[in-house]
Amino acid sequence: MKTTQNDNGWFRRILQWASESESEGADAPEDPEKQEFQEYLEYIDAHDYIEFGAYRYMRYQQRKELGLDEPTSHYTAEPPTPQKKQKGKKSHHKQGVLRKQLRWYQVASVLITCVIFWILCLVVMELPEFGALDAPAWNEVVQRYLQQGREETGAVNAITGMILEYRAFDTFGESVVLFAAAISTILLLRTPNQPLRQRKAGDEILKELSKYLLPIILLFGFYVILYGHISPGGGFSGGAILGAALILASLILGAGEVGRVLTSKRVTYITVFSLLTYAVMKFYSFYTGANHVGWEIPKGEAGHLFSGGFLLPLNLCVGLIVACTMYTFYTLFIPTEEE
Amino acid sequence: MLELILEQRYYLVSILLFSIGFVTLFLHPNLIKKIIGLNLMDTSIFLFLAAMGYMEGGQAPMIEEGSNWAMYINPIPGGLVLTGIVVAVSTTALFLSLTHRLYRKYHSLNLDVILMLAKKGREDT
Repeated sequence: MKTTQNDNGWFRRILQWASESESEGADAPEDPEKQEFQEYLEYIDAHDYIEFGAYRYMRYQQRKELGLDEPTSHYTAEPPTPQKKQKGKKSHHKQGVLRKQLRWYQVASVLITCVIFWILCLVVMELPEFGALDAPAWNEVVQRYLQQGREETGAVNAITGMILEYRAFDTFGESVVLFAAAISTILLLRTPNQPLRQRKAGDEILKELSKYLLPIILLFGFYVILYGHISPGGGFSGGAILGAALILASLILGAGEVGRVLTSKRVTYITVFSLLTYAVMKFYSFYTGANHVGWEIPKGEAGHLFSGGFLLPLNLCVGLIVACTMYTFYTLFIPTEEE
Repeated sequence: MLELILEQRYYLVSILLFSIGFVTLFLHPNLIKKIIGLNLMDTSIFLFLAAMGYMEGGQAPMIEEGSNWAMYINPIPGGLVLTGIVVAVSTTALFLSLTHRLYRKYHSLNLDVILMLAKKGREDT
């Protein structure tokens, strides 16, 4: 049956599906998955709504208690006996005890949110008007950054100059947070020797298009990082573009292709190396009293590529950290063989 | 009053987004939807900060030689939002991985079901 279906191709299968031929109809009830789903529908009709996964898990536990079958076969066992079903129903009611006993739970949560909304609205109405020139946030700190920033940091982009010179310690902590999140995600999701599922090779059109598109995206990402102190952009935004390009590449070319070049070990090495480079480059200013401005590195002329002291390599480090972390997050959530 | 509301519309929209995220955290038992609610709250805070930084008629802070400092917007909220977005992404990934582990163990995303099964497992052992 199956082989003939495959031979006939997709068009024939669609025709068969459309006409619902006799043989298909006769086969259908024997499909254990369909049968189980039918039982599931009856169960939620008779009792209360419960997710399919939770239902299957419950059934599986019941069968295991009865000793009906091996744990691996989900589908072929007898439906649970009425008593067991009753028990399942009971425990299901038990789980909703908060919702059932405290009937006002939802009402109360909506009320609390409304009260918070109202308080916040009152506060917002008291704030200085949007875009007001005499707002208290517009103080001497901003004035200093905007007036002296160009001479002191050598960066045209005031935001890059701010986050990498005046507030470099903040940004370092930021990168460490990223690194810590990546490491804990790896710890949670990675089990040893789990092969990645080999995706089918992507569509031909996509592959051909990606040949021209991917280099441009990568180039643009590097441009945004390298010109971060001259034009809008910087390490964080450019790193996000690079990470998106890597994710796109592994979607189109298959995770295995990209994974051969960028193994998880190499990605982690790059991240750690960038973090250490950042720390070493900023160590001097941390050591001399956290005054990151005005030390003896030639600033160059503001507006040129090689200007602003260490801004360029610092931006590169931040960009690499962000790109590698994005890519790591993506690779960790690809389904593996066992699932 | 209406003029004031129109004037403060960015702040009000950010508060509205915050409330939607907050009530999502309360009402949905599904863990993925709770994470979506948290992300909505993140986004509302970013909108609020970015709106705080705007100055009437201000330009993006690409400072030109010898220009008046009052013609640019405030760069500090820009830097805060920039780093905040990255932290939001990483915490979301952490939440999702924790949820993934829970699903592997309990085969459900419903917080009530997970709590029930965990309680049952504790009683059994």
